Amino acid sequence: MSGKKLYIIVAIALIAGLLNTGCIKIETLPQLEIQVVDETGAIVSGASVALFDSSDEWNKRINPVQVWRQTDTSGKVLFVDLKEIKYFVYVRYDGKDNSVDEVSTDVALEVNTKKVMTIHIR
Amino acid sequence: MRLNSILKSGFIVLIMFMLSTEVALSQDIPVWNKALLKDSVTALLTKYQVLHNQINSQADSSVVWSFMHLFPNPKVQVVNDLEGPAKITKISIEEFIVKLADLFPEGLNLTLDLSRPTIDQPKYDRNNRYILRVRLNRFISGISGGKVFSSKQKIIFIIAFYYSDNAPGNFTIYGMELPPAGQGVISAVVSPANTGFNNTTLNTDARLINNRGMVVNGGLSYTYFSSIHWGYGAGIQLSQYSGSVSLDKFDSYAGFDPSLTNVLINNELWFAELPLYFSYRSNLSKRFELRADLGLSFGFRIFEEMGSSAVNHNTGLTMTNVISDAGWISQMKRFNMGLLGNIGVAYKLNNQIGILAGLGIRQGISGLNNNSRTDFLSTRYEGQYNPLWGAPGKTINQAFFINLGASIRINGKDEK
Repeated sequence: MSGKKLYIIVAIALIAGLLNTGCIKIETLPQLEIQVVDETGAIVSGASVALFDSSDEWNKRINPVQVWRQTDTSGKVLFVDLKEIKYFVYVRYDGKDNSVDEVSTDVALEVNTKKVMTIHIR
Repeated sequence: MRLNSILKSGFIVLIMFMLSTEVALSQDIPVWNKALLKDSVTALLTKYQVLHNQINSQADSSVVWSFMHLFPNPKVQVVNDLEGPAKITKISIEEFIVKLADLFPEGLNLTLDLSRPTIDQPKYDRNNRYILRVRLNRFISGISGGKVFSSKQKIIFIIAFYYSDNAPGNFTIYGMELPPAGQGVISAVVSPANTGFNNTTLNTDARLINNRGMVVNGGLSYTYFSSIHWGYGAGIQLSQYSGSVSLDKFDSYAGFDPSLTNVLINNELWFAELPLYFSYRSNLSKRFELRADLGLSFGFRIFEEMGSSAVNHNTGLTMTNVISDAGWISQMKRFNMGLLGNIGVAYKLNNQIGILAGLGIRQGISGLNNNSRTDFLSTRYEGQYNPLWGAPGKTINQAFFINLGASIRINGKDEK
């Protein structure tokens, strides 16, 4: 085997090894997909959604972690580049909100994971 | 000092350096009458042609003597291709005459294409003597050993003359050479660069401010010089393009104010680029060489990153990743194309290795993304997407950089 071929094989093996052992790892920050439905279970598009990192701020509706978003025609909105923490979700649409229903992700989000939640408003 | 100022200063220093080199070189050189030089060179080479064609095994000694006296001495080296292209050597003019008469008893007919010679600027040698080089095509034909021999070859005549009483004179043939074979040059450069993304809509927006970024790029290239001045090349370059968009604050969206001010949205794209270019070089002095490249660069995006930050108006804290734009990458094109230009100076450390310093530019031609935000004008301050990739019109990458590197010549010789 020529020296040049050996170098190439060693280089490929080294990179593959680093990727495999996690020394080189490309991670995706946590994502949260929220689908909003009303009390009948019908999807709600155009609902305003915000995330908070504490129940206190959720109560006051101040300092959302990202800008407010709106659900699309399938009633969904996707938040990306989040942190590995528990989030409090507030949804409002046409005088209805989720204050008497699901309000948090229960557990901290994880990297490389998209958590999917259904939020009811009434 | 901002990078633009550094680049401008660098460019001015480079130009001043190049001008000063030229001035230094031209300090002792008279202003030449080009027409007179050409006439003198043509007369000398015409005499060379006429006398050469009179040499054969029966030639009169006065012809040989006259031919020999076109050269300053009998030991002057000339190109000997009388035995075919595979056996080209350099021999003295007196040996050449003997060989010519021996191989071509009936003579060897020579024609010089004196209609379009390339005559270099004379260079000072010593004791009022100057040397210039003349490149032209030479045709020879004759019969040797019963076989027809013919050849067409580009030849360089090295001509010496004296300059006295404000006039050139005493022109003699000081030597003869073949043009150097093609040269291959491998260059490696590191390029601190000022980069950015240009979009006409964004550049004219009163609130969205398009900022540039500083990065360090680098690459390898191979240039093949097929002649003294001209060549072509290709390379591989890892290029990062960095830029950001700043906004005073996010506007309310659907009636909700996010209370986020001093917004900054960073964009980083990494490309593997394949530059293809034409190259020009010219000796400024024995050690310094001017080099310039112009061509196209084809980019393949290998990594990308978008980040955002803003200050919470209520808490005063800086928050990161305040925009959720999951779809931005799907709007990006993987390939792009742009113009490239480089200009710089190489300092030859020895016959093979040189160090390089210069300036360069990459200017995108093809757009980086498929802009799909038809509602951009009404939604651009609301933070629902990255405004750089949402703005209508073509968004292109651009880089101004300083090239610092080294080059190695891997074949061919320099023309002296």
